[in-house]
Amino acid sequence: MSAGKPNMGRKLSRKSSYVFENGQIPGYVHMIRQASRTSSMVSRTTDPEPRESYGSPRVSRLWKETRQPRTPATPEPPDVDERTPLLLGKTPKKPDTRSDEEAKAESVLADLRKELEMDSHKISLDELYTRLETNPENGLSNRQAELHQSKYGMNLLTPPKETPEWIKFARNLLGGFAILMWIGAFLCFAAFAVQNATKPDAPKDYLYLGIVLASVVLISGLFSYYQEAKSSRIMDSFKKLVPQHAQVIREGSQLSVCVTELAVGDVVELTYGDRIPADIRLIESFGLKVDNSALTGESEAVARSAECTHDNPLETKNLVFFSTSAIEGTGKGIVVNVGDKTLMGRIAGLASRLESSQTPIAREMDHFVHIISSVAIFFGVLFFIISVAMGYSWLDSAVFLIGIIVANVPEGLLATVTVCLALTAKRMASKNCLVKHLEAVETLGSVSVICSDKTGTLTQNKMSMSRMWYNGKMHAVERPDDPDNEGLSKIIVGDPEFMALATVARLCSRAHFKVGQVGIPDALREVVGDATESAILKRMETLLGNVEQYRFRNKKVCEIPFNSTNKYQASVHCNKSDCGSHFLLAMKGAPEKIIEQCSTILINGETKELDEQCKAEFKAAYEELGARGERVIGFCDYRLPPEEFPEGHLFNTENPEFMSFTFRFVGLISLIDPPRVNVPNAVRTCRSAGIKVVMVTGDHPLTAKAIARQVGIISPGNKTLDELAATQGVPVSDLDPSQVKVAVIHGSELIDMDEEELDAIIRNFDELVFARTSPQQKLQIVEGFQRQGTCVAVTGDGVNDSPALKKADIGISMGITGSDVSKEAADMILLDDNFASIVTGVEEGRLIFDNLKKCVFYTLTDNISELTPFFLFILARIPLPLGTISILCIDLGTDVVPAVSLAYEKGESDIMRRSPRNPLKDNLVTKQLISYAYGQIGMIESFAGMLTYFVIMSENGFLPLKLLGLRSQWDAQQINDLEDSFGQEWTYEQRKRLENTCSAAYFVSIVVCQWANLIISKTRRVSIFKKGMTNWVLNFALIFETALACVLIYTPGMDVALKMMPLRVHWWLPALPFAILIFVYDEIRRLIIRKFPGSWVEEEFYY
Amino acid sequence: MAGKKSDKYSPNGGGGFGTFLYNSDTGQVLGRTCGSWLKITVFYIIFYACLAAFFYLCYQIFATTLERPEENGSPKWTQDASLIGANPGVGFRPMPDQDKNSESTLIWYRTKDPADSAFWSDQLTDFLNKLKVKEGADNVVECSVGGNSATQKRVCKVPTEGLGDCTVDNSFGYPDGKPCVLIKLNKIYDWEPEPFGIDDDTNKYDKKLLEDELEEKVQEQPKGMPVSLKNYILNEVAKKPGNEIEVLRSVWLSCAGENVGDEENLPESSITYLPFRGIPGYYFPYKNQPNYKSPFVMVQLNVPETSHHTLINVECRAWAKNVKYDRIDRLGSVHFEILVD
Repeated sequence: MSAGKPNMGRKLSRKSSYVFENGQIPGYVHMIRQASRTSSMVSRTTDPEPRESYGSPRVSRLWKETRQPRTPATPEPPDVDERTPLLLGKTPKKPDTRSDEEAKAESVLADLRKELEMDSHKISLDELYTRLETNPENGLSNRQAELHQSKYGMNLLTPPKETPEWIKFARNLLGGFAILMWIGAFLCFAAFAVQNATKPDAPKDYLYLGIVLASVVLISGLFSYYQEAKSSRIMDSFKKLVPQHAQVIREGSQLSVCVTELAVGDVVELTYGDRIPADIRLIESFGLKVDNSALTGESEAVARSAECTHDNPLETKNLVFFSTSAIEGTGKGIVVNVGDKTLMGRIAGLASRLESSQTPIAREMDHFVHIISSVAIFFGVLFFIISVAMGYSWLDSAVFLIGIIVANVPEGLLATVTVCLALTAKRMASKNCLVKHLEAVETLGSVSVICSDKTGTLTQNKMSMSRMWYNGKMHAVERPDDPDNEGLSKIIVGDPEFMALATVARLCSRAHFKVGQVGIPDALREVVGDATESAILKRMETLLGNVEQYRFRNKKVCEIPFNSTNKYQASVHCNKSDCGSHFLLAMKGAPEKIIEQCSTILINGETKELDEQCKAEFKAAYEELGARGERVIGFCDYRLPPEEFPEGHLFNTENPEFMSFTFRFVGLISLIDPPRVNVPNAVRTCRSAGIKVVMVTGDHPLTAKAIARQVGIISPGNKTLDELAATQGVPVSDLDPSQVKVAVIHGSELIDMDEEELDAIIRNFDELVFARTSPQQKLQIVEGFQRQGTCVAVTGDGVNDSPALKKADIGISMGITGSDVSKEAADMILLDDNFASIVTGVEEGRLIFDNLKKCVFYTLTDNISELTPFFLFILARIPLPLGTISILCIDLGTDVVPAVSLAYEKGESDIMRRSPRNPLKDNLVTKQLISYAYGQIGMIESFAGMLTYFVIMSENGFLPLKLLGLRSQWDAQQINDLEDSFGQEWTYEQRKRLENTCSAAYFVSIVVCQWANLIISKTRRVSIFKKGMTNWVLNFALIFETALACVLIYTPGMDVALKMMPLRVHWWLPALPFAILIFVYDEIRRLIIRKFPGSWVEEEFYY
Repeated sequence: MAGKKSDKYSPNGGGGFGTFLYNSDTGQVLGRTCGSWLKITVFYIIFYACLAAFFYLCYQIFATTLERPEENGSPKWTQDASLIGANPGVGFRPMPDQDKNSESTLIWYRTKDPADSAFWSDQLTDFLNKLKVKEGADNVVECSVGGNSATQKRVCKVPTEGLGDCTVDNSFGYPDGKPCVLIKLNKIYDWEPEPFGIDDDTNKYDKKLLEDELEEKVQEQPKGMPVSLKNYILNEVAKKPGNEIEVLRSVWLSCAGENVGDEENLPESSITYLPFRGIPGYYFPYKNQPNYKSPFVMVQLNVPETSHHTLINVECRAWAKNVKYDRIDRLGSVHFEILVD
């Protein structure tokens, strides 16, 4: 039906090549939509210079050069012209950044990034038959089919090469801190082996420690492997789309063939309900309509026929695509592409081959692991050298190294982070954001650009009546109070002008409600019919009620269905009236066609001559609506003269005699897919949160711009360059492009751009709308933003969006309308398809980043207090104050629940009012955090632990000075009579019992200090007195941590199992002053940060 | 493109380690300018100074609750309240060189090499020299069974005579292949041995009870009291009628080859205890008295000629009613090896 653009072929033929160049689907999405649109007799108005309304000046100029002269009097859909430059487009430059070994994979990918190249739909059928060695009646011979199968491949999507599972597993066992832990475990085993070799009854401590370390690595490796294995099942859902059997004609007889057996050249019969088994050129079509939603996300039935209507394979009507479905009619066609070469196969291949980039949080964790590992290795090696230089044995030095590694590595932290993310993911799921990869939870918080699809996400994905123009005035249908509708009249039901328009609107329609829907609100009732008519029907039902009954009373006696040449639809109804006429003609269609057919117009209840002034008013109204990107339909009626059409007149629909009359124009109705109610708010929130919202749609630029304005993607005052030129009355070329901040970029312009130009546009315009974009272009846009270092979220629902979804830092698919493939490619799914849910996600993501920071701070702090004992042990040669097992008790025991509880912290300030974090500067772990955690709070904890150590040693007889340099005697097993300060002599076992008690007490001191640390970790800026202690999970964690510590030290048997000894109650106390010190010190730090913003303290110690 | 992009995200903005060490553009060393380094260093010096002062203050406040060892104070916790417990360990001298092998308890020397013997005997000489009563130590008294004993202030003189062959002049028997090993009981504040054979209720000596209790010890598994020690105790008690309790307050000592083979290599008859087979009760309790010296027993191991060049495990055990024995934890016993070449 879009054959309404017959001139297209001529224009396109200027380009002699039939091969479509790289990067261009001149909106095949559009084409599909356009087809359905024209099927409802609608066309668009355009302003005389449609180009002016969008695009950068450069592109406008480019367009002007290539533009065909035409008469402005006949406005036609702009897309005809818009496509022209597409074919002149140069190939976008490919970045030449890949290394050689990647070149091969890259070339496959580059090939997939190109558009489908084919001519099978254009050549004559005979040529096609010859080329494919087939015959429309008899099909392929079996032998031919086999030959073709081996030549073109089977009709299968090849899954991408997968990394073997064991490699994935091995990666998990070696990632993060695993290497360090393995070294630690290895040293333990080595130490044990050496001890075992030299002594018959060597203690098994190091064996156990090695086993514990190795188990920790194994368990956390398994944990992350399991997390990873849950993702990446893209190809599976493509497989699911593949139909099972197809009806094929081979050797003259019809048979049912498994789809994978389908060969190029096969003659396939298609029936409604079938999934299309391959890319097929139609040779026969009986009202075949296909649903291309699998490709486009828009589920409107599109008619297909046997004629080639467009050079572009994606736009022509005689091709149907693999894995879309036939929903009406039947047809027959020749298979032209199978498997990976089909359109769907290419998108699938592209989506699955794209590397999804590392998530920001993964980068942050890597950075963090990097820092901590460096610190651990630095200290480890340093002290290894020191201890060897100090004359310790190799074995001792290796043992010190173990201690330093264990102390430095926050063993539990990575798991804690995962748990925090999982908790947030759960919380987000309850707010309709289903997160597929845990890391994506945070990614959303880092997002600085959201590339949003329009249909279904920003809009409701259903047509509804927006405005009516009658009686010379514009009327708002809905929400008359909306600022957008300011200055418009209200509809008054009963006005004769309104009733005239409503009568035509009710009668001249093929849509009807499905039967048996009683008691359901009109808006929710299901309608049979196309989107436009359904929207009008529903609205009429709401406004006037009982449309069905009205239609029954005004029986349709004759109908001229829509056809794309006439662009109108008319029907005649029995409708007795005062003037004696039996028949009312009702007609609707493209407004310019309707007005041509009219000679009068209904104004103020009177039928008036349609003079020039009326026509001008009509034109103004039509253009106004068109500029809003709305679908406009014109309506007219006519009472057939009773003389010529007496009651019972039989109408001839083939050659209707009434079309020789001129009719009365009654009005215009415009429809639009309206934005979702809460989207403008959500967009506003995003903007105040510093997130750029960009619309990337396959839809028409005008519609896109109108919706962008309505939802606030384009702010009210801002104008595009073209609009500015129009208001100032100067040519576009006279204006400085830097004046404007808004641009609507057309997909065709993108094709001509190289990376630098796209980058320039992305940098220079604050408010961007990309219209008429192809899947490859969406990908291009996403990559353009990513080159700016921004973190990009992409929303989309169709298969066509899946490459962009995959490439985006976070791909967001739609839970209701989204195709399976897009859901698989996405990292997150909006269960309610609502853009506003993204805002919730962003908020949660930012919160979790803040909280993870707190969590990391909390966990890292005690690293230093675990490390100092070793330093003193080696340097001051005191008996070891904190054992390795106790360190593990902290890292894997008492620290875990409090750290997780920080994930439940509420935000400190309004996190949606600050800018997204700068991935270059705002790291999870900053040098400020390390400096403050290690250098200050950690040191305070160390002093607390050491005080406790000295208190216990002193109370038992070893005064601090006695301890200095005592290490070698203390640890000498043969010395059974080591004297303390009071002359008492201690056996080795007695000393070790004392040492273990000290270790347990040191452990308790860390727990006590971690109380304070947990409380100060709650807040990074505001006072804790303002923040309050309302995080009950955290409060519970305080108690839990303490209880766990008690269990660890007081449970009988722990002295053997964990070398923990029961403590006197007052040995909990020495750490208390330090805990109070931590609390007070941090309150002061935060006070200074608040009072003196930008001060040295903030610069150095605000993490 | 993912690879390229990740560079942009890399923390510290790339630039490499070299730039980090010294950035000629900004004059930054290790990511900071000199001024910035100065500021942060001064801050941390002050911070740690204050923290150390706070620490010192806290410790000093705590230290007021402690008694001072040089003023003969007691540890805050003693015996069972302390982690030292109420079960003394046993020590021996001479000890192998710790610097060479910190885990060894082997006394190994060649009889023909005087330097070898000297290494061991010199340790014992030093030890005995330390026992000499200092000038002006007026709280040191001669103690005897039935006579003086240690009190809060007073301590007993540890005799360095009457040690038979185990004298400095004799080089403690080392060159003769009859080395003396000094065995001493660990000092534990306030600890006193609980004698065998004393009726708890009447606090009186009961011969029958003594014999029963000693027999019980002899029967103890895996290794009980040597019968010779039982007889020795009974004999000692019989020698001092009227002072039985005083005699029994001793901590008795037995040394023997640890395993059957060791016993064969070092028969019981070749072990001599000097001056007395135990530590008399009058040395107890230890209360950190000034000039307190550890009492000891010299155990002379008359290693038979046939057992030369053979490593012998020796275990010495202390015996009293309140001395518990645990071989693994080295409670109430000490282990060493001797190898005479």
